[in-house]
Amino acid sequence: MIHLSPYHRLLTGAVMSLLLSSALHLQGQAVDPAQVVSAVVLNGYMREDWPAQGVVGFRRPGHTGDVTVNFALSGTAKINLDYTVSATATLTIPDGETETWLRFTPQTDAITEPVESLVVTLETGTGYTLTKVAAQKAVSLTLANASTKPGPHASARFLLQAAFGPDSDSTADADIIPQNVQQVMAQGFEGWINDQVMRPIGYQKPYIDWAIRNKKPETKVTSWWNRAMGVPALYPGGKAQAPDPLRQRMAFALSEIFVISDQVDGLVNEDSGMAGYYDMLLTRSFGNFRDLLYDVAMHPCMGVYLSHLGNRKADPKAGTFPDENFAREVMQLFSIGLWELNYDGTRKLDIEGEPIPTYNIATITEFARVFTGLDFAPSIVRDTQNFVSPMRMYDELHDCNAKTLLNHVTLPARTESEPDKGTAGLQDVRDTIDCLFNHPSCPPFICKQLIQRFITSNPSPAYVERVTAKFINNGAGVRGDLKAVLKAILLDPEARSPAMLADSTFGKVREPYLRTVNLVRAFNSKAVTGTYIINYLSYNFLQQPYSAPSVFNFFKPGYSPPGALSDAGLVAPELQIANALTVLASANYYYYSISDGFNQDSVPTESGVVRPQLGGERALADNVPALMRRLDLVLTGGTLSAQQHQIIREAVEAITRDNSDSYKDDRVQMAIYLISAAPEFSMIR
Amino acid sequence: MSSLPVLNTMLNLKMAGNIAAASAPNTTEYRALVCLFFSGGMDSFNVLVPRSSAEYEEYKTVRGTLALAKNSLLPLTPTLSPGVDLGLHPALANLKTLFDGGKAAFVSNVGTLLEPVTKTQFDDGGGRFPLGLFSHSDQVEQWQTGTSDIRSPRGWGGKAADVLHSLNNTQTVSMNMSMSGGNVWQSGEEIFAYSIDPYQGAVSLDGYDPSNDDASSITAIRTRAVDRQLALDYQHLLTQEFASRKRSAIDTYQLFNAATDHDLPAGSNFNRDNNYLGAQLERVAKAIAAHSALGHTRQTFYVEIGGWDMHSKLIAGQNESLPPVSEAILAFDNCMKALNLHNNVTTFTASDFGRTLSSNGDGTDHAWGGNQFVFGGAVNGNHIYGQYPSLVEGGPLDVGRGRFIPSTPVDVYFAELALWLGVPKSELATVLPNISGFYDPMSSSSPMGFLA
Repeated sequence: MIHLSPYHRLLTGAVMSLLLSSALHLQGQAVDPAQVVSAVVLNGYMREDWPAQGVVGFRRPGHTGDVTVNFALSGTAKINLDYTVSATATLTIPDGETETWLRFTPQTDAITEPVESLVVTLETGTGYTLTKVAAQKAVSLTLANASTKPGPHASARFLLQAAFGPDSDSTADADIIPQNVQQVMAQGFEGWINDQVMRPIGYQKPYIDWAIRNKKPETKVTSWWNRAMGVPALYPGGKAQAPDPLRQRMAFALSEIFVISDQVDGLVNEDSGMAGYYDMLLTRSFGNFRDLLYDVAMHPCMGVYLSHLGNRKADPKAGTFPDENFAREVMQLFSIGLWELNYDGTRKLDIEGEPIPTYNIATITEFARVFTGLDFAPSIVRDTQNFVSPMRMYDELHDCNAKTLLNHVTLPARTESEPDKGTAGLQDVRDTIDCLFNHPSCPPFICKQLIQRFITSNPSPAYVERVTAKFINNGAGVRGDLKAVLKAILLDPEARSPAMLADSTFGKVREPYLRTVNLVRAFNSKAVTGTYIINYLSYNFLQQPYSAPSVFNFFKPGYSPPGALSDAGLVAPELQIANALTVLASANYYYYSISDGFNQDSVPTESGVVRPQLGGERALADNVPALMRRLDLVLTGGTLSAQQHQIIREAVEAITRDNSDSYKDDRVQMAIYLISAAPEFSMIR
Repeated sequence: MSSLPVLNTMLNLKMAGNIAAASAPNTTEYRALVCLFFSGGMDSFNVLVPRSSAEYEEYKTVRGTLALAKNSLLPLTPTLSPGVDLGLHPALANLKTLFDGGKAAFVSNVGTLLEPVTKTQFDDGGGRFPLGLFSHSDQVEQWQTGTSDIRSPRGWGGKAADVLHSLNNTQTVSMNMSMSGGNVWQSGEEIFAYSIDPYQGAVSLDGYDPSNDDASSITAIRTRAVDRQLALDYQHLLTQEFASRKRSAIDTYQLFNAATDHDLPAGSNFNRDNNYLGAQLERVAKAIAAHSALGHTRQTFYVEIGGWDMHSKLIAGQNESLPPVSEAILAFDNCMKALNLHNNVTTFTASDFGRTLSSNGDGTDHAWGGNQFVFGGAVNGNHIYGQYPSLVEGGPLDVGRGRFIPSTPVDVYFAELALWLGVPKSELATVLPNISGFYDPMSSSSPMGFLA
């Protein structure tokens, strides 16, 4: 029998026939090799309560002429009761195509039944012959019951939204479902969140302090990576602890709202202080927003970044006025925004239909007076600036006169404390934070942005309003409970409903950094040293934790790309950093990383190279459909279309099997690269 | 007989708006605009500073410790006095050279406006004012759109390109090119910015090679697959947009790189390794030099340099940040001369806003009107356009702390540039929707007269 290489399958049917028909004819068989039909499973797992279809591809090497293929359905699952199907006895591969798909849609019934099976068996017919490979002649799918616990697709999708995506699957078990996905399946969404909330905080600063003590060159981005990867102990002898991906994701989201950045002189060498700021965000991630906002305002890194550290009350003699930088941004970016908002996040309108500004320049002048008198706390270590403690207030330098804030909140004139403990000034700061915290625009302003960071760029007003309601009252009368807010975001019907998977506007562009962490985790990538020194991705991504270009973050929440999206009134914040440079530079980064490691340029020795561990994938190099199903689950939550499956599978299979083992590496690398290159990989839906 | 009086008369006429507008280019004549954006809000009242005794004293009084020493200022001697002697920040010697040579000019106290407004209106709430005055995000956007009454993702450079791009022979490489990523200024309905890295140029997709004709090679397999991926029709709008951006980036790279991978004329020293603005302008110069190969009769370029939000350390900050500006603009101007394109390329500056004249101790805060400059062979230079304001505290335009109501709206500043680039008068209101409130697009006189 003539062996058809994958390469030959790629040739056109006509050329293929010309090449091979005479040879086959000599053997006395009237077989057209372009019309040898086989079946392939694209998705073989269905569940009654999840819309993901079971998909079987009918394929042939050529693409010329309609070919109608006969098949039979069997198995324990019953048609129209347990599932519906796009065709029942024949399916035509149309002229011009090499593949067409049989689609099964699971039906929900109230019956609790065993997991059911479904078998598609190709049968003979005219105009084609059947493959000789038994496993490609009859293929099977499974159909599971509805359950209160989520299935693998739903769980993988949840981890892409709420955490850093699925992990590598252990090679020890038989399935292709990663352990952290199985954990969500076992705990359920709410159970998983409750478990995460109880976990010890994965602080960043201890690593920095250790690295500085031990004269390691590694930076704060390394501790960020180690935490994102769930490394138990950040440094030799460090305390081992369970990973806390939900808290790490939340702090990352907060770091993109309460932005500080090392792109200013005052912070560029202050890794420890900046990591301390990040640790504050981690500490407050499941705490109260009011405490978070106060800590943000009082942190010396924020004081340096937005220049209210060292800010003085007006000096009429010198003609100086208080610095307005922080006063403006604490309102515009950190609490209430520019426009008065309804609870659903839409703008309030005045009687003329115009949006209503939340504040004006006079308000900023008043707020600027509040944030005077702050400076570094006295240093613990001689000749250093204290980036550990909150800033110290000096009443003598603070403007103690009365102030008018927002919504008729006024601050009384205060008396300087004697001796100067800064108590008068601090009371101003506290009252001002309370004023912002209690402003009606604060809950929708913050809630909508958090939804955008986790779930979707364009949440419905009703979704925003439901989350806002939790901010206003967590159910126990508490305003600002971020744990309740986050839970409301992640468990909202709009976030969870599988129907949203079919919505053409739901979801968001996945941030470059989150894409990359998913890719690194999905293959249990690691260095011999056990640490993740992946520090220099700014060029590829225009994104790097701790290094936003300005207080407006890497991208703005209201960025609306010109074209179809802005025509539809939609925003896509993350697309602001997806330009001609970054879309290709990031693809190139993955291209080299999959084979050579994720940081080949930034570590001096081989032992530091973070390499993907591809053993499990190599084992599937000869079973490309299975390889594809595994990768699709961990990298996109199973959202690749049938067409995308086909494109990638055909490319992988086109890499010819030979006696060496290197083709296995080539195939696995091709599959991973092409999934990372598929636009679906850059989305969270 | 000296020709000076004649020139003065000409400029007087121009000031009176009686001179014919700069002639629109014929459709085959190459022209390019370069937008040099100082992001963060440059303190431009320490760039263009009064030197006359009375005005310098006013400046010194309001600035306090942030005032530059009078004897450090580089004196300007414009052909026509703006009513006050002015000088440049001492770090801008090259800008003085261009100015003195008649090929650079300032536009003074220019900013966002919706209609002419007064200080009384500002205090009492009458009149219409730009959205989000004094806020970075809003003012950056408005300095790029010219529409301060609505938020828009489309800028006037993009809209101008929508009108003009059909003059170009090929559309593969966008006529709008950015050295600083996506930006609003260059985003139109049809035309968006093509992003180029100042150091690496355009980026290719590695492992992708359509010319590889060994169909069984891994590169050919990968190339086919990537092409197929990007040819799919994605129903999900964000996914489709991402796919489109990638396709466009791949297609543009090949042509751009081949066209621009040439050395610039000898002597073009942009000091790229030490000067980020120089590196950006060098890359711009290469694309300008390659305009024929790129099929471009019209081009726009966006370069951005940040760090101007000097709420603190203003004096030290400007002493550090202005010298590279001075160095880069002279290198660029010399390079345009060497390319024989000096008259075809105009560079203009923009920034979020001016800054308060009064100090917050060590720096200044967000304000409104500011001073910008233009340079190039087509500039009627050695001149201060617009009106340099009185800096006295509480003066007629000061809405507090030395925040000045602009005396020239950005719309008029941009209209001059757009018309020079070749936007027809009939399309000017499409490109700059609020222009009619300040200037009649069908007028026979120029909006400002700074371009010939």
